[in-house]
Amino acid sequence: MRKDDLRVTVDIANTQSPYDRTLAAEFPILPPTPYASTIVGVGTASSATSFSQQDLLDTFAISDPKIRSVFLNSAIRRRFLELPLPAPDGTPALETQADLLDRHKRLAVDMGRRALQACLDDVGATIADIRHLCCVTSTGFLTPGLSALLIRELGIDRHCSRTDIVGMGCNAGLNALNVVSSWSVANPGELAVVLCTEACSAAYVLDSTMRTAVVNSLFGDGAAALAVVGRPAGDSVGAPGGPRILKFASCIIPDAIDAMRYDWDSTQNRFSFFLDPQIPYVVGAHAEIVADRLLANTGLHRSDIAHWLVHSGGKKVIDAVAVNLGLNRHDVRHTTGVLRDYGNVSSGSFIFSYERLQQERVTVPGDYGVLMTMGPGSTIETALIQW
Amino acid sequence: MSAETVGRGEHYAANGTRGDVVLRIDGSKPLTTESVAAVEAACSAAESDTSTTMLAVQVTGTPGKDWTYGLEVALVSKWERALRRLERLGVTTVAVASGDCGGLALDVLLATDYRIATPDVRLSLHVDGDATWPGMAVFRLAQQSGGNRLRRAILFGAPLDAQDSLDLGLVDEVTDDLATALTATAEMVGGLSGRELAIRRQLMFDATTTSFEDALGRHLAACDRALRRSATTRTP
Repeated sequence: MRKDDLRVTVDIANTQSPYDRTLAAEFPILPPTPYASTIVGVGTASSATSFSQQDLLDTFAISDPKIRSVFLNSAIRRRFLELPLPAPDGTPALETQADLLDRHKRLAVDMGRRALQACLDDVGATIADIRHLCCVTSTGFLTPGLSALLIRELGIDRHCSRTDIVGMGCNAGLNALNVVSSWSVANPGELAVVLCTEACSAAYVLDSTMRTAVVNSLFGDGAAALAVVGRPAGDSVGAPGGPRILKFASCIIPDAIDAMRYDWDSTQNRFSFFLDPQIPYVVGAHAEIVADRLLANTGLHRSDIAHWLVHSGGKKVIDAVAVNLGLNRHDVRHTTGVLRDYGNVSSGSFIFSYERLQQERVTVPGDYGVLMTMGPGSTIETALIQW
Repeated sequence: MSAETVGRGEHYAANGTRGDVVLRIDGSKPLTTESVAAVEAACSAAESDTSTTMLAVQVTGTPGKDWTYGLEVALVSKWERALRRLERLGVTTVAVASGDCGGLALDVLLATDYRIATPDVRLSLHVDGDATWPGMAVFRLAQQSGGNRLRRAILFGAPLDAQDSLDLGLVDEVTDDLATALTATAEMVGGLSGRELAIRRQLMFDATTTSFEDALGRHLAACDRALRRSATTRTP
């Protein structure tokens, strides 16, 4: 193509028809399929008690100025946590790994049950309608997994199809949505649920190091569920109930495989989480690559995306993603709002943001959205959706 | 796509540059869905051609009386969204302004990165009925400049001539020779990355409304991005 062919003049006087977002929808986004998976409901839950960062500094008698600074400059106002009962001297009692695993099981099931019920209420469905249950958790290990425990706890049909995604970290909610989206296309009309339930207060170590301080200042307990149904593709755009899921794109950064991890610390004799200080920048540097890959061959530009739902990973990672994707504070208002009110609730964080966006009632049929999560691997997961 | 392809020879287009998309806005026209479509189409064209580094914008004209007759705030909202897209575009936007500029012409001018004006330029917030139009041009004027002359312009619609506009920083240069000025500007921005410009521009917008502590993380992330870019292109 010669350069001259690219010269374009846009002139109001010569403009024939108004710009129409639906034009973009006619670009070849996906191979034609008879069904599209659609998000039809959302629900969230937390543990019982919330704490300000100052509450936690007081409870654990943290005086180190550097650690206090990490807590107080986290852009978190409150978090839901279950703290250990006080020892006779008033300080929090030391818990064993077994205590923490018990807490994980109890909290994950309890929060999961409530988030799932809230999600069903949002859809107008009942327990009996669930045909696939995909449970996500990274803050503890269970066999049999959460799906089995919840099926027993809630009396879900014993023939319900199920998946457990364990140990994939904060990005895993989108890995789960990818699986459930495919299941829904293969089983149109059937209700599937992604349930992320993370008892982060069962995943802490107190050893007065900066490593654990960064982690302990950040995470909160929370569960979140998304209901998904495969609908005839032609009917999905603008259908009531929520957006259809168009496409996923992933990026793993193997060079940074150890930069985020939750593994056994033999000196502490328990699992311990680690976040490399470089992680926000590593994630930020790859955000544009995966976002461009997500939008490749869709006919969409980044500026066509009306709604960004980015994982509330922490202030620095939100800043880095926003800068690298050219997002402003309004674009990430729910990401920062969820961080402020819940901390980082790991895999379910982006669903908390999705719930807030839905409650705003600002989306209109045809709007595009991008969901983006980050986690160990190091990985970035993305999904393109359309209301 | 609502765009028209034309050949070379437009007097305001810079020859030999990569600024291949031109947006023309006639401020004498009322705001319509076509106005929104034109800005959206120009943005889309600029974004679609990755070799484009500059979007030239020609603005002139000021609306007649009663130009807001029949206007609905929903359309104003769409217009502002289109302007916001222009203002965040990943290419350098360069405006050429001449004569009276008000209404849509002023709106678009104030959303561009670099502004070249002819000596006869007059910027004015149009008076509709008994008051000036309270659109986002007022916000952009207040963000981008200050001083008594601007206060008179915002409150009472007093026009700003070329010298006023230059003094207030609302235009960057005044010249009779638009083609030369535009070519020089295109050469100045030709080697720069539009995406990096968009990041710096956003940091600049946020700076006036963000505390140092809140802004620090974003600026450090931008520095990290710049360092990574230079590391891939340079060897010590």
